[in-house]
Amino acid sequence: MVKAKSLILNMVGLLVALIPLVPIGLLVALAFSESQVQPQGFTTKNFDFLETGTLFANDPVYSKLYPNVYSVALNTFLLAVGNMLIVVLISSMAGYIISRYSFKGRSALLGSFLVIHGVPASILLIALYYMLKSLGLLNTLLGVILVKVAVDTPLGVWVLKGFYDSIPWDIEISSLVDGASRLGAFRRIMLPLVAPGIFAVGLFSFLSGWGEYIFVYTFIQSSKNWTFSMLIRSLVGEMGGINLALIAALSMIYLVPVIILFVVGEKYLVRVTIGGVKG
Amino acid sequence: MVKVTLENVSKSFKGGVNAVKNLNLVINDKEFMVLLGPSGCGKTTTLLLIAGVYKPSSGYIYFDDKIVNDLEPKDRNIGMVFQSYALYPHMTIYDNIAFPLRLKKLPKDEIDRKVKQVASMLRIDNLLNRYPRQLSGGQQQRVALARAIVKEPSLFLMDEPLSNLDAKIRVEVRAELKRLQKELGITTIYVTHDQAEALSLADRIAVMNEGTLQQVGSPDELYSRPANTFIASFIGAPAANIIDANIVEEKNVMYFEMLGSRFPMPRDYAEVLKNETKVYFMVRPEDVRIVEGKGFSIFSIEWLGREAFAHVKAPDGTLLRVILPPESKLTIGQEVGVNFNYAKTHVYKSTGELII
Repeated sequence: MVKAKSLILNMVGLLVALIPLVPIGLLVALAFSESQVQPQGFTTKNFDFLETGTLFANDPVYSKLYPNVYSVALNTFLLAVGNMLIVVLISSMAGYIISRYSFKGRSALLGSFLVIHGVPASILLIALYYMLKSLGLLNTLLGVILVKVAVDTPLGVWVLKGFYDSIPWDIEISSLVDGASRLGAFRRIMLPLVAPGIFAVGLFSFLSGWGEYIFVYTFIQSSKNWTFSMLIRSLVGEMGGINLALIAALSMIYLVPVIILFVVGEKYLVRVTIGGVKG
Repeated sequence: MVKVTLENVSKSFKGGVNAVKNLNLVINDKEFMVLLGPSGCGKTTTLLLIAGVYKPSSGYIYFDDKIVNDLEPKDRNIGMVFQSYALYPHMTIYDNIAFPLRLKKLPKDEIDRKVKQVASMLRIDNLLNRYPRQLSGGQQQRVALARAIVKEPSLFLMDEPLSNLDAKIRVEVRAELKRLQKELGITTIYVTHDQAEALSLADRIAVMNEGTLQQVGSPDELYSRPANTFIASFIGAPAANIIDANIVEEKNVMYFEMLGSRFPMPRDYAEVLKNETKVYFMVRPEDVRIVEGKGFSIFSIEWLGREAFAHVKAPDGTLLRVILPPESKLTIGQEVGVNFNYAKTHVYKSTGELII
């Protein structure tokens, strides 16, 4: 009876696990497909662009329309890393201050973080466009990074504040009495103890930058500053015929860093759910 | 080492909480001073004021003759031990103990020598490569002590260091702590809410309640001559009996009218109490004597080995706590009389202050 029950549960679990695998399986099949529109046969020719970074290398007109894939990858990476570094830098310090110091407007600030995080970023597009334009940051990666940072930081601060909250005061007081300055206690004791939280915030803001589409689409015009999401979007429709297999191949390349990060970071991410400090 | 003086120290927090009110206290060099009081009485706040984590709202704190109000915690040369041990979870035991020495930028071999020395003194030398989470509570507390001792502080601050240990280990570490403190001769301020711990450890005890200092004295003084009813009820286990009493006079004899009965009072009491009407009469359980008589009855008896602890029901229904000698052959329900060892009882005003 118990065995039958666990068998059924396992089957259901397997089924649920399979559902997300279906689209990914399709993607992989399409990427290695000989046909441009449906999975058929097996070839690696869709990945030929990896050699030089040029799309449609055989077509003198089309090949000039698209940026080099490697420069697109670099742009995507810069956006992701830039977003990650600034978000982590700000939220690791702001989270500490909000957790440990009481100051005027502290709870209002915390509340506004939640509200800001809840506001759909798309409604700010026009205002942001003008702001970036007047700062001369339109059509630059830095402009997009700053916007991403503004959108992602509130959540990062909120998450890290929670991590700092979970570290008992006693530990910090103890380090102060042991001879550390306030800054020393932060650097030597607090930061290492919230490392799992910093890792999580870093990972999420990296991925958020890596996958960003709407801000890149709105604020970047020149194709030399495109990211992967823009490149893939541009291959759909606008230029006439669709090469689905090529899109699938690009998407797989786009996916690789994400998979690597989750495989490498799994150990840390599991610790995140368990929480910061134990006994 | 160092003598600590608190002069009119007050601390209030945002929201109008007055945690410590006008505290005056001197902790002598090499003294073991216990701050005792119920939770929320301001004793931990006082400790953190001395540590420099909080700054006093008013008043002065002196180390010897130097005002230290604005001295940072790191510059006060204090060793502190917490109830939660407060070990650094991401460091090994060795690194935990070495932490204060590294901050002092001592040479590596000196750090190593000192860490090993203090570790062997506290018998944790076989744990140095482990992490705090791999240790039992008693071991963690030893590590916390080692970390406090290794920096050779001139003042120990301890915030309920034994409260998280089980009863057996607590008594062990308690004895060790007392021996260590005497051996090292380091002035110690120890916060606890456990009066038994306070009585056994302290050279002197300062009792606090609601942010105010109630009484300072040796354990013996506090036990035998509590300055008010709060201390009388707080110190001693089982707790002292504090009884509402009226003072009446009849035919030139003064009586305590209490417990639904009348007790003629000794002459020294009568002289002091002739102008009083309503008072509290305090008697410790071991100073109640069961005699032959009527009116009182044995309500319950607990056999404790060395002695027996009984509740005796008074005519007005009050239950008196009484310690009986082990050889007493009383049975539950038995009718008895009651008398007091007046040499050790006290009388307090209805506002709580000691009269005699």
